[in-house]
Formats: sequence, structure tokens, C-alpha cells
Amino acid sequence: MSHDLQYIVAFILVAVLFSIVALLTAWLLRPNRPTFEKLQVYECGEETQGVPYIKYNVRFYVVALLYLVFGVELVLVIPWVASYLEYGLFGLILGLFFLIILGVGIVYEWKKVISTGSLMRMLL
Amino acid sequence: MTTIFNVWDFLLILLYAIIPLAYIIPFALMAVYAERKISAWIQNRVGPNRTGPIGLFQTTADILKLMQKEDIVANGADKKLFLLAPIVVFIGSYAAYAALPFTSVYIGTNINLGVLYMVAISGFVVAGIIFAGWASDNKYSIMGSLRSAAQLVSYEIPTLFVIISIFAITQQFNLRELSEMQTSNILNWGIFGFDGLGYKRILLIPVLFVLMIILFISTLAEVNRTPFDLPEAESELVAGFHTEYSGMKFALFFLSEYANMFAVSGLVTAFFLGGYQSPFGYLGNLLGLSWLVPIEQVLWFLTKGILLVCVQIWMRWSLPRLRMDQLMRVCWKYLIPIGFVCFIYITIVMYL
Repeated sequence: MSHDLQYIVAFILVAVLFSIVALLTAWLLRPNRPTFEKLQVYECGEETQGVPYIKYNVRFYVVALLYLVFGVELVLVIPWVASYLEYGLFGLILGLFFLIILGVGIVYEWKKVISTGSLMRMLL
Repeated sequence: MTTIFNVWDFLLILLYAIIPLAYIIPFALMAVYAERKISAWIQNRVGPNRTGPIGLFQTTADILKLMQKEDIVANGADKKLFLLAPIVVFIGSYAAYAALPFTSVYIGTNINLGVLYMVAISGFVVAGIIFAGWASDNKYSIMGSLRSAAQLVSYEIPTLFVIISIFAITQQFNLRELSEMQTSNILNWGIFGFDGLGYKRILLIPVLFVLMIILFISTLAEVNRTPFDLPEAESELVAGFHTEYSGMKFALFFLSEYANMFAVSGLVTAFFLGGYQSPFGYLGNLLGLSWLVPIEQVLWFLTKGILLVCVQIWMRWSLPRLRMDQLMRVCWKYLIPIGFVCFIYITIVMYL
């Protein structure tokens, strides 16, 4: 008895085993002669200033929030798509009502977030 | 459901799961070679021509060289995450092959939610890229991984719109069933409307064409290819999230990029270009040799997938890279509203 999940686990295991084997082979073959300069971060010729773990711009979180809104709404739409034909016109209009609210969300996102350009310019 | 877990069965399943690997590695080697050759032709150069006949062994030699390279981990790096990142990225791109329908006979898992599974498991790639950027202790890396996260997350939404539009037409998330719906001839392919829809196909064809373009663009962005390769923009960030990587770890990133390219091409193929179906009948059916049909199906699937990969390479060497704000604008201003309108149109058409 084999379950679908076993195949997925098998694929993940094969990926892990392959990468471990590849890395081990390279580990056996390669030289290892670290020097102080080699172990520096590859940024520029000068000595590195500061740490990279800075505060992120809040706009990245705005993008994540937008994704969350649309992702969740799409997930809510999937069961409706699977069954709306069974409920006739009522089902269609009910779903379209929901989708129109989502459309208002798109218009809002377009007007407020995208068109002003401030969000996108800061992501540079 | 008598036994829960049988070791011997599981070993057989492991063997079954190794089959795509035997395809991916030669494919990645040849795809890198093809990319360099095609770019050479486009730019009026010669390209690799020294190693082997017309340079065919160039990438093999590159991999052998990468294996012998010293593996440098910077002092400030988070060593465990640094090692984990390429493995996680490779898991994400390899596990996606579990749902890809190579033939009607061989498909990793015939799960009913195959499409959603592919989208979900691709999330591993985002996680791995963020790991790589965070663990590197490098400002370029962290900028690259942040951009990559913003980009992959944004471009998942047009992909999902296309997926649920196709779901509204076919009521199917299973990639093999989707391919079976496009059987017998080219007019039943997804791009010409699916089999058995009657007059609705005429209403659907223009929208399906638009949806195919949207899916192609957004999957191109999801595998970080030019013109959307902001995470590894050489001119601004040295090499983006894999600046610090060297040797075999870098090779794993490279391998999973090319594996991903074929996986998304396979997704576009399974949705719109007939999956593993031939555009006309099968030679095996004509001759009465039933074992020939799966072989032909594999060949058709690989041909279509590799043609799409060639289109990706062609686009890489023809188009300049977008700026970050242009990239986000393409997604949020154009692809998502267009996909949304197409989705509503399709639900109404399917009701008629």
C-alpha cells in the first residue's frame, strides 16, 4: 500500500541525498587552505563597514501584506469555483459579489500603493 | 490500508523517485551549454568550442572544475544556514517534479492537487534564497534575497489567477487529468479551449491566449530569469543571493535554477500546450504497438518543454533587465488586473 505522500517524501529524500552526496564528493576532492583575506566578505576591496542585518524598509512588509490579502482571497475563491455551477444563478451572483469586493481592493491597491510610486521607488 | 509503512515498498518508491534526477542532470548540462551557444549566436560570437566536439563537454568540465574548488565560508557567515540554503533550494526545485506529468504512465505522484502542490513546494525555493542571503553576512546578498522574496511573492498571484481560471474551465487540479483532457489533436489543446466544451470554446480562446502569456511571464519571474533576474543583477548586486557561494554549493544553485526552468515550462505545457499529448495521433496506435505510445509521449513532453526553455533563453539574451519598481509595476498594475478580469469572464462564460 503506497500513499501519495510517500512519493512526495521520496522525492524530497532523493533531493536531500543527492545534494549531500554532491557536497561530500566535493568535500573529499577540494583543497582547504583558508587565509585571513579569503575569509573576508566579498563586497569590495576596502575593509567591510557595518553589518548587513539592518532594519528593512517597511515597504517590503507592505508587499507581503498585499500578497497575504490576495493569496487568502484566492484560497477562499477556490471552493466557490469548484461548486458554483451547482447553485445556478444565485451561486454565480454570490461569488461575483465577493469578487467585486476583491476588485475594489485591486482598484484601491492601484490608486494608493502602486500609482503614487513611492512604494516601488523605495524597493530599489 | 492494511500496512502503514513498508520499508521495501519505500525503497521501490525511492527508485521511482530517482528517475527525474537521471533526466535533470543531463538536461541542466546541455541547457547551460545551449544557453552559452545561443547567446553566442545572438551576439555574433563563437561561444564554447574547445572542450570536446563543438564544445559539447564544456559544462561537464565546468562541473568537474567546480568540484575541486575550495569552499570558502566567510568569517561572519551563519555556517549551518549557509550549508542548508542550497539543499533547501534544490529540494524545492526537485520536489516540483513529483507532480509533472512526463507520460500517462510515469508521473511522480498522481495527486489530485498536483498544480497547487507545485506552487506550494516552490515556496521552498523562496525560503532557501532568503536563507542564503541572510546567512551570507553580505549586504549584496541580503538585498538580493529581499528583492527575490518580494518578487516571488508578488508573481505568485498572477500564477494563481491563471491556475484557478483553468480550474474553472476544467474542474481539475490533477496535471495528468488535465493532459488527458487535451487528447487526440492540436485543436483540443488548452490554448484552443479544452475538449468537450462546444460553442464556449470560441468565447474562451482569446482569453486563454492572454492567460498563457500571463502564466509564461509570471513563471519566468518566479524562476528569476532575465528580464526579471533582479535577485542576481550583476550590474548592481555582485551576484545577488549567491555572491558568497563557491564550489559545489554554487553548482547546486545553478542546477536548481535550470531544473526550475524546465519545471515551469512543463507547467505551461501541461496547462496550455497539450501536456504530453501529440498534436496529431500516435505512431504506436497506428502500428498497434501499445508500448510505443508512452515513449512518444515522453518525447513530445520533452520537446515542448525544451522549446519553451529555448524561448526563455532567447528572451534572456534579447531583453534588458527591468528596474525594481518597473518589475513590481508589471505585476501589480498589469498582470494581476488582467488575470482578475479574465477569471471573472471565464466564470461567467462557464455559467452560460
